[in-house]
Amino acid sequence: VNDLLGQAIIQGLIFGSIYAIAAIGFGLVYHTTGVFHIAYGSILALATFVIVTLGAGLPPIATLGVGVVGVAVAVAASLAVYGGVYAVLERRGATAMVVFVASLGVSMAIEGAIVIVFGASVQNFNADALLQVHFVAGLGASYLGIMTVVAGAVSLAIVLWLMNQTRWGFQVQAVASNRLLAEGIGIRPWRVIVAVYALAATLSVVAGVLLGMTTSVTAGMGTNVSLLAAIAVLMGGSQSYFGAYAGGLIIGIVQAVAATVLPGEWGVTAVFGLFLVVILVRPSGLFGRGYA
Amino acid sequence: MTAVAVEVSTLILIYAVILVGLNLVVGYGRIFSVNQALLFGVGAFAYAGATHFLGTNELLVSWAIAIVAASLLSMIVAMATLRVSGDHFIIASFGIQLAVLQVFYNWSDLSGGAAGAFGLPNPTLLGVEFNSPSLLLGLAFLTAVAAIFLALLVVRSPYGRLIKAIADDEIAVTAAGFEVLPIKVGVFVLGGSLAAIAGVVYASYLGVAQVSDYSITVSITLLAAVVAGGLRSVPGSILGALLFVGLPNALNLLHVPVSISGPLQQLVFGVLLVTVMMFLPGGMAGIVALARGARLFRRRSSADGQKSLSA
Repeated sequence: VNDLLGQAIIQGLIFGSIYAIAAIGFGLVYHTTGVFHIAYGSILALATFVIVTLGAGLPPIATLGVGVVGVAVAVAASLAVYGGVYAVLERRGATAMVVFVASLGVSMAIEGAIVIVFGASVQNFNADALLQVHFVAGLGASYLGIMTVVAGAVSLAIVLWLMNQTRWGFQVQAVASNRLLAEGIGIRPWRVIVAVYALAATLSVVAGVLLGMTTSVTAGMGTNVSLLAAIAVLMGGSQSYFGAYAGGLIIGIVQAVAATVLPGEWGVTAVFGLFLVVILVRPSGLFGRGYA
Repeated sequence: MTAVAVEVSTLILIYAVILVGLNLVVGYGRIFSVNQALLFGVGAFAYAGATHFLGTNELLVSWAIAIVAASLLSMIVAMATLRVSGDHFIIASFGIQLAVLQVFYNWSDLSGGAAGAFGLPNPTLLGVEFNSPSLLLGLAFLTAVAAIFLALLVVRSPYGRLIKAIADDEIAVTAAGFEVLPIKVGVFVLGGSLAAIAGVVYASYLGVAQVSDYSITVSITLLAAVVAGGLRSVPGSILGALLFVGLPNALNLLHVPVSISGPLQQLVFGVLLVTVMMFLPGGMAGIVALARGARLFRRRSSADGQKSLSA
């Protein structure tokens, strides 16, 4: 039983790292602009479909180029949604709720478009070699799994470094805490925000490809990921990227352990129950700075 | 009426009940909930459960179970999260949909798992059995009339004015000495109960209750329909139901292949949701009101729907 539990935790860390990467990206947009960018997930799915379709049958080196195309698609789509929908609504003084509902609409439209363009069938990356499981001391992990966990930690490190050590990061924090004041001291908020959306989109592609390789590529994959990412960000706490990362890992582990320990499928229910408990006990989140 | 016309009318009336309920929450209360399809499903499985475990097809029994269950779920979500922030509420309303559907899915004695609960009997109300399509249409009609009447009553009551006032300026209402949270929870419970009532009728009409019919996509589509129909307009919700049922049928008539029709509906409803939010805050009811307002030298009809965005 202990081995099973240990294996579940490893599995949870792998999936959790994917959610964590997505959550850091979701958090970038949410913490900086306050927009609940739920269409984030559908853009993730779109980019992953582009990559898996263009990359089919190409040698590994060429897939890197395909990855760049995927990132470009995701960035372009995100900026189009920001400029064409969110920014317009915000200029008219729409509430955050209205922007969220518009984002839901975008999400649904993109998902429909994905199925129309790429077909309804599930697609797969040819990642069998990476998925082969190696055992150490009775516990197994694949190279892909190890890469995923490393990618999660590296994503967090990069974003924390950007936020806390670079001029750009300070500008982002300034825009996040008071956009008008930031503008007053010579920061151009829209430049910062565009860069934030682009970075978030890039992270979403990393998460999408890793998830697609670990499981498979479906049009609906994004909705699930953006929901879990949003839960991770809210559980993690306001303005906390470490919180978003930790939230993602916790969600992954809770899901995997629930799947091992309980009969039937209870992963989502367990995660949601945990979310409700966290919100009741600590409304500001696990690692939040107390203000929201 | 032809069989198709009876079927389409029945569905429109059932969805009108759901959308009128959703409009109370989203339109009047400005609380964007994304789990209306779940509460609809709660009604459907209440009927499946009542016929299966209690051996009764009496609608009053199923309605009672459905209303209690939907109210409890709504209260859990709303009371836990509305006091934190709107964003928390949204995610909770998303999450509870997935979580409770998973419970239904796992509870295969009730739901039949992936296959669904089949062969549900025709419903009876106080001993009268609704055993033909036209009688079931009558049932849907009565339910819709009752729901619309109730909604209009609520909207025009002092309580309804409070709901609107909270949506427009929560702080002012608090300052006036009202406890805001119970009022918000109340409207959410009311809207959810209407969806559950509709769910009972829906399952008894179809004879089937399947988990996949109450997915998150359905919730978002319902949201799109209520927004497109017109927020804060009860007739708008009926227009929304027309759209919700009409679009798939129209695509069907145009011989759009099934593999395209599903995603195309998603695309259309998604685009509709965005464009209406951006350019037509009053929805279809807003257009009707505008047209009427122009003809009658703008008597007071257009004002209500047009304010939607500025709140």
